[in-house]
Amino acid sequence: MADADLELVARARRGDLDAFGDLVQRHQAALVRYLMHMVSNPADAEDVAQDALIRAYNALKDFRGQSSFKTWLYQIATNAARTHLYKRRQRLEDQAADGDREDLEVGSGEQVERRIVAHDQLRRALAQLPDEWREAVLLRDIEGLEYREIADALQIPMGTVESRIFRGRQRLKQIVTSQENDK
Amino acid sequence: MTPHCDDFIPALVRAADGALPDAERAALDVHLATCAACTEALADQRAMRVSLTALAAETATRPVGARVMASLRAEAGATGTSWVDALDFRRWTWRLVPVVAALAIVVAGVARTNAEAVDTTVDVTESGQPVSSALVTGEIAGTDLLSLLLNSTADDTFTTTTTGGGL
Repeated sequence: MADADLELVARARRGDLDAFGDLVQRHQAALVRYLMHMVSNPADAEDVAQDALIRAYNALKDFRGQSSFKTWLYQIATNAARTHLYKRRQRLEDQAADGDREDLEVGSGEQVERRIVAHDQLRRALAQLPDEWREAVLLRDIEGLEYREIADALQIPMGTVESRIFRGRQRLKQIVTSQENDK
Repeated sequence: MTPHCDDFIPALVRAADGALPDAERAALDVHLATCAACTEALADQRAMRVSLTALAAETATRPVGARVMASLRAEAGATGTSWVDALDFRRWTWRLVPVVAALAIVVAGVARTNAEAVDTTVDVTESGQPVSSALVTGEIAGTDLLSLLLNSTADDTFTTTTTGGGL
């Protein structure tokens, strides 16, 4: 997988747009899924994924191959998601300040209510996690990245990765339990 | 959990994933035997790990590849080239071929025009001598030639009569 990625990256760097298309095909599903849980909205996740992939294409010349292409892609996607979340929170705060009564909860309830209850609760709980914990948890438990890959993608030490995953899961458990008790 | 328990956080996380080496697992088990908080934490870690993995399998996504590639192709079409194209000398040198060809045609045209102009300067006088020779031999007076040059236009040629003062 990684070798095939590197070969496609090399071709894409030489101007072969179809090679980059193959890279997109390989990684788009996982990327959108990760972003869907990061930004809690399918449409936004697709927009952020598109933005991240275009950023990746335009930054191919900066890809040194020190980490895998997948890890590098998650790094770009994480940054794109952070920017998106920051802007959305700013917008919601502005709307709240203007007296707009729009729901401030992150995520679209209408989308997740179609899912089974347990997953619905989990999604809501994920949306309430601090971004840094959510990134680490998603990359490990949803995307299945190795700890070293997560450290590379988030550019943090391995111990910090383990700590964030631990605290993220613990907080998730507390939130889900609280939701069940509220019923 | 106690401050001492914090030392076991990496082991608890990896144990929940089933990714803890045996040696570290043994040390963790010793701690778990006397720590109810860490035992509960490990159970919670496992439960969340299982739930999240199931959530991943259940999450449907729509492909964005077509949108991305359409955007990139439109961008490449709008700019006519991508940065990688610009770095490929074979691409831009070949693209210069029409420009070089056009320049060659212009240069050839200018050269031909100049050659025709030169021909007029070596045109002959009525006596059959080249103008330059006639000037040397005195058939054309220097003052006549100077007068001609001062009064002529760009379209004039040097093929008129040389007698009586004008060429």
